[in-house]
Amino acid sequence: MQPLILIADDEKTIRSFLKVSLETQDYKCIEADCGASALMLAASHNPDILVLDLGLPDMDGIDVIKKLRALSQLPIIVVSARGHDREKVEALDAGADDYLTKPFSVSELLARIRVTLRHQSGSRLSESSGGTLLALGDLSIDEDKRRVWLGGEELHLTPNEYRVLALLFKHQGKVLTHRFIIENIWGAFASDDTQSLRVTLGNLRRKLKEDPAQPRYIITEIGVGYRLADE
Amino acid sequence: MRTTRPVRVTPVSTHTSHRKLLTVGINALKLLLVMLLSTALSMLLRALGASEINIVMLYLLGILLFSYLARSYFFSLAASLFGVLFYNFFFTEPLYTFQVNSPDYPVTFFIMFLVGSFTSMLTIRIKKETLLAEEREARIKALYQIERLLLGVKNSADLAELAAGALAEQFSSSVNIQFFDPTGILRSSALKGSDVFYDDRERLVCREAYLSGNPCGRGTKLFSEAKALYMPISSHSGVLGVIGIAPDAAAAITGAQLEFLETISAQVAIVLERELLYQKQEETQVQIQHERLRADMLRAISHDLRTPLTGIMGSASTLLDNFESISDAVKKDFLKNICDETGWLSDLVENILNMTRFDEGRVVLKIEQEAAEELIAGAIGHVKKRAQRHTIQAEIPSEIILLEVDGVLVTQVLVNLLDNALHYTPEGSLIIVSLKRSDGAVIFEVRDNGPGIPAETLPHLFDRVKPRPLASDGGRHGFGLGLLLCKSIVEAHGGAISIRNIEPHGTSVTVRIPEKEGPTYAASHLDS
Repeated sequence: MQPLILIADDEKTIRSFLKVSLETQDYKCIEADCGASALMLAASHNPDILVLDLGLPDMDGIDVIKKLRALSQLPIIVVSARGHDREKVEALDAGADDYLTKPFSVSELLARIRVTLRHQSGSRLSESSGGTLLALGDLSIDEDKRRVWLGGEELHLTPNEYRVLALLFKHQGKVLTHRFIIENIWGAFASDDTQSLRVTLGNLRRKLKEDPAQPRYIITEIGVGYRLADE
Repeated sequence: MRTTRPVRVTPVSTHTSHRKLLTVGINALKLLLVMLLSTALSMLLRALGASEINIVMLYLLGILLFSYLARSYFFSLAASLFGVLFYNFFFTEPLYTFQVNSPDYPVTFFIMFLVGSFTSMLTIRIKKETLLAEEREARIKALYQIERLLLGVKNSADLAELAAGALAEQFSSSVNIQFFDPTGILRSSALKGSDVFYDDRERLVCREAYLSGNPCGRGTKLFSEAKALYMPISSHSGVLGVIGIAPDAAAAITGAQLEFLETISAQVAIVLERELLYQKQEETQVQIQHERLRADMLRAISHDLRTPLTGIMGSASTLLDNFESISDAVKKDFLKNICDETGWLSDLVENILNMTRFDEGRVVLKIEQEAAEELIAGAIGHVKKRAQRHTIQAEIPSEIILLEVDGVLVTQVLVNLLDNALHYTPEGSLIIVSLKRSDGAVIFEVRDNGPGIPAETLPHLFDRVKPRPLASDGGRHGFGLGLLLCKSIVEAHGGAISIRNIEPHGTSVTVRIPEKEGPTYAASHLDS
């Protein structure tokens, strides 16, 4: 079955080129030009993904996300103008699954859609099967035994380094905000403690032998958070 | 310019009666001493056979001398009287009585008394006038000196400090001077001596003087129980500040002192006003400068925009007009051009946006703790797609360097520097981004092994408007705006940016951002 994608953007040019490129990739598309119609179409057509522009004319994009989240777990990819990083983080914290910054290339959007779709089906899987052996390139992680290998050699991670890595694996390909990671690892009361996060990630990168100019595993999204590379 | 106001100052007399009594006692003692001395000398003269007239003269001399010392009309009258009585008692027949034999003597006594009184009174008056004149001269001298000093001050803080110092010396008092801006907010202040001015009560009195424009506090009718006298500094545009004076002793502030204070206050007002005018003028100057820069920037931006737009327009219209006749390879090439140019445009627009935000002073740095290496990775990630034909390497130390910056803006700096390196080096060049710490600062360096920057352009890289697009531009877009933005961002973080050519060839851009004091972490465990 072809996945159904709802595009909510008030710019007709953007909607039309998105529709064309998505349809060439075997997705079905429906369009909304404002927040109200996006909410309506989401309810009536039950799409697989919503691509949501945060700058819709009739309502605040964050409100659209909150309203949708109250109803469903529909994956949302937000699109926002560059420089509006706070808005982006807010959207992610409100429940959006991923984000793109305008102007973006279609190939970027397609990659995000693929990740989101796979993640959606994957999360259903992993809930039933529990911990598994996951791998990304030379890196593999055994969630049952809490062990990590890089190129066949076992890595000795501290408990927090392991937990951050496992969290990234669990949401592979998806950007995780600083706050999300901190709340999951250090608890909700530590949400200002970005220092521990930075240092943990720095140490983790060194243990993973990341090339800073060409990271293979952990990708930094400045001002937003971190993402585990997709493939 | 100076507005005179009636100064309501009532003489303070309560604390002075004690002192007066003391003066009277001392004068009485002096009187007694002078009389005894005159009598003793006269007896000596008599023994030597001098005539009586010389003895009268001697007494008159004593009276004169005493009046000069005592400076009191009452006591000089008393001295004249006692002189007559002493003369009568010791030197007229019959000796050692107050009676006289000759009828001439009463006349002598009377004349002696009159001469003594008149001369001593004249002496006193001359003496007092001399003193007054001296005092006035000293005051005028002091005033002149203060005025000269005041005219030379550079800013209001100096002015307050100087005026307070001068007044404190002149009045031997504690002095507090405060200047307010037109909205009533304290602009600068100076304190000499003790801080009696800072309790709530005194603040209230000071406030009252500021709001009413009348002197308040000690020695005036308003708040006379206050510890200090508050004199407003008034100009025709309103009250500019307040001078507070709290004499250390219980002494009253005299009328002359008040006059002095008023003169100084008026002088201070003039200087203050002059400074305000100067400031206003400077602001206007800055505004004009600003407008000019803005116009220049618009010109530069238009130039930078037009170049890629021409490319896009040309490629697109060629495609549209000759769609059937050109080969697929050429079409693809054109489309790739369009893509590249729009990518460049998009970055340019981002820079312009940030630049205008900086220019209008609207930039609020979103300072957060960032790991420096992440900023570098983010920047390299951003330009990687355009850098297929270059090699970019990162040199990161083993320690994790955290710094408090606006991560997005600093990444923008690195992106711009990398972009420049990509544009101005031939394909296949190596670009290295390195990171290190050096005396309290984090240093980012972007260096390449390209041809370097021509010596004549190097000093002008950060000029807002270049006379012409860079010589080495090679048809590519100017990069003035990007570097300018880098400079603005780095300076907003209290840092510095510098560019130099390196040996054997290449360019190195160094960005230095000061570290806030705080711990750094070796690459080790932080879990607990």
